[in-house]
Parts: sequence; C-alpha cells; structure tokens
Amino acid sequence: MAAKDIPLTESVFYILLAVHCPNHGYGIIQQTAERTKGRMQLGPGTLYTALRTLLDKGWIEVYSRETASRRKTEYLITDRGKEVLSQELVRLQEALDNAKTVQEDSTC
Amino acid sequence: MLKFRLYFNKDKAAAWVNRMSQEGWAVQSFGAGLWKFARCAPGEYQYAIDFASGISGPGADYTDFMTGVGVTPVGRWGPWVLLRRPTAPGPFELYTDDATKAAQQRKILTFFKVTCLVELLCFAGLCLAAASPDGEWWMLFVAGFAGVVTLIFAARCFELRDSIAQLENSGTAGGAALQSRKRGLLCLAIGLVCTLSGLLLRGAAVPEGISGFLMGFGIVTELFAAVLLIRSRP
Repeated sequence: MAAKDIPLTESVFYILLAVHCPNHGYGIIQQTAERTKGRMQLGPGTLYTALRTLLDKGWIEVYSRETASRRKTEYLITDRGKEVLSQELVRLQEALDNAKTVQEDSTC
Repeated sequence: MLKFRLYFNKDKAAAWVNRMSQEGWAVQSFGAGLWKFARCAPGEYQYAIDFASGISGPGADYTDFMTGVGVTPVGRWGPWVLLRRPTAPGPFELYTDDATKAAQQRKILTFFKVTCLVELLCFAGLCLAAASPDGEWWMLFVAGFAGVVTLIFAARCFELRDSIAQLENSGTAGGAALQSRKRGLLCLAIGLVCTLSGLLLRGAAVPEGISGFLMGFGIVTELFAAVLLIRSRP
C-alpha cells in the first residue's frame, strides 16, 4: 500500500464501507446517504469515477454482473481494500483520541 | 422545437437546459449548438452535462452505470454527454467531491488545450494561405473565425486552471497574474485583428508598407501576448 493512499477522501471511505457486502451503484448511493443521515449525496459522476479508480487499484472487484443487462453490476471490497480501510480507521481513531484528550484537558 | 445556442461552458449550458425544463421543454437531442426540444411537464426533468474521455464518447459501461443509478443519457455530441433524471429534491450534481471534480476538469482542460492549439494552427494556416498569390478573401474570414474561437478556448483554459487550483487548494492566480492574463488576452485579440487586417489590405488600394506594418505589428503583439500569458501562470 502506498503512503499516499491515506488519508482517503470521504467519498472513497463510504464507498469502501458500502461494498463490504456485494453492492451496486444505486445501493452504494443509498447506503452512503443513510449512514451520513442525508449529509452526503454521492453524485453519479463521482461514484463512477471512484469505482473505476478503486477497480484499477485492486481495492474492489466486480462481484457479479447480470448477463442480460450490465446495469446491475455488483462490487465487493478486496483484501487489499480492507487493509487500506483498516489503516484509515487507525488514522481516524488517532485523530479522534487526540481531539478528545485536548477537549478533556482543562489545564489551559 | 429547435433552438440554436452555442456554449463553451457545460455548466452554463446545463443551467439553460434546466430553465427550459422548468418552462416545460425537454431536450430530445443536441449537437453543434442545435438543441431539439419536445413538450414535457414543467420541471419534470433535471439535466447535467458530463465530459466522457475519448472522441467516441462514453462506452456501454458508462451508459449502463448511469441507467442503473436512475440517470438517463439523453444524447451525446463528441465527448459531451447530456444526462437527465426525474426531478428530485436538490440540484442534480454529477460530481460531489473536490477530488473527482478536479479530475473531471483536468480532462476538460486537456481537451480544450488541444482544441485551442488546433484552432491556432488553423488560423496560422489560413493566414498563410490567404497571403499567398492564390489567396482568397473567404480564407481571411474563416481565419478570423478561427482566431475568435482560439481566444474563447484560451480564456476557458485559464478559467478551468483557476477552478482546478481552487479545488486542489493550490491557490489561484493572484492580482498581478490576473492583470497579466487580461492584458495577454487583449494583446492576443489585438494581434489577431492586426494580422488579419494586414492580410485584408494586401493588394487593396493602400501602400504596401501599411499592410506589411500591420502584419508585422500583429505578429509582435501576438508574441508579446504569449509572454504575458505564460507569466500569468499561478
């Protein structure tokens, strides 16, 4: 994993969360909106670009593709993708811990 | 209904198409500035325009993906794809984060740079052809058109470069650079007009020196414009 992969953009972070189980484009948009309570609406252009990039990087793979119509392509996170996500969670946890420590510290 | 509207900014074109949709007109097809509309319920659709890489436009993969997320590709012209969805709350934004917005604008910038260069070469070629003994008047008019298009694309390239820099937080052109850019574009326009005027006056009932001076002055001004534009880089 390259160092520049971290930090993830918020879009990539939520896309990777959404493909822990096989999921298609519309499902990823819906799940991200639900998880962020409507704050984040993934645009179709952003999602398409991000999925192509993640496929190229090997962080996700095509899980299934309907033969009659390719409209329902499902994506699934790979082991490499899970590893990147874990690294990002460590970074986020560190940031959260530091912020909590500063907030709870009343010495100044 | 058929309308002619030429846009060099896809967001402005999409805004106009959305206004037409509010008035009850849905786009059926578009290309080369011509837009074909059919009646629809006012505000029935929301439109956005995307830029797909490659001269052949978007592939089946792109079209299938968009259809799968509830977006219908209405038509395409070159790399430009017009998309629509049934009206939903909020604006129809294709790109919702800075990284993908910047990546898309970079692709458009590359396309505009190439187009600008091609137009500039057309301008130069037509000017040379017009200056030859077999030169025709119409060549100068076409050269003038190519010159105007070159200027428009050059201005759009600068706008896009600023927008990308802003998205990537790398800063935009400062006051001095912006001033240099405006002067550069003005000099380029003056240079193109002078070169064309010099060519137009060749063979007319004016002293040969005047047309030669105009052409020479035009070329020098264009070179000066190039220096100013290079200096205006952020």
